[in-house]
Amino acid sequence: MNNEVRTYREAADLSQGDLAAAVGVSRQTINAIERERYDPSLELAFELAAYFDCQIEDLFEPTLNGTNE
Amino acid sequence: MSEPITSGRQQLEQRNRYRRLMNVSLWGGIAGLFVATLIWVFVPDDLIVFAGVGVYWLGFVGYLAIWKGTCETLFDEREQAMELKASGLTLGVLAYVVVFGVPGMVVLSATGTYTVPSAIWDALVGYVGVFVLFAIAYTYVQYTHS
Repeated sequence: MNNEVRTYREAADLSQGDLAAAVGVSRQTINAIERERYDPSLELAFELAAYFDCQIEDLFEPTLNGTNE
Repeated sequence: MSEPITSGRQQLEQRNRYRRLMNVSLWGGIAGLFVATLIWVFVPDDLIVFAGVGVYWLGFVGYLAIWKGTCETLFDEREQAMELKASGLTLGVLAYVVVFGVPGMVVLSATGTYTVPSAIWDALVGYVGVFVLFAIAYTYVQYTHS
């Protein structure tokens, strides 16, 4: 799943550790999400969206039918 | 630094503290068993090795007590997902061993082509037991998720 977490995080001038602490996961988890190696749970996706005060679809773009749309 | 980040950092530090304690407990138990066994080699008193096993159990119980006793989430969702995936991969490998191994061993033994060592038989029976356990666990999870 494509995402804009890094863009939002950098715009907010946060380190991966800061964002991880804010949403209650490890820094490695934020790193894995940004590198699109791990898709967060719905709960964490909502938490990230709430933290950045945006919609989930602003942060995450699902890969449909196996292709990036 | 904003309030959610500060309190989040404190929570992560607390989580790391608990995890360090769990590791100390577990590895302390393992070290205790190792040392007791080592002493037992030179001083053959059975009490020593029993005490070693006791220390090992205590270490493991300590690990579980911290893990289950705290209200902190000690492993985040990615770590839980990794554990789930690794478990699935392990079961997948065992499935291949059971699916191909068991009928092959039965045929080899029945035809007298090859005498399968009892250790291999025992291992395969153990693997089949793992799948029986998996089926029970799956049924339970299915029941609780329906």
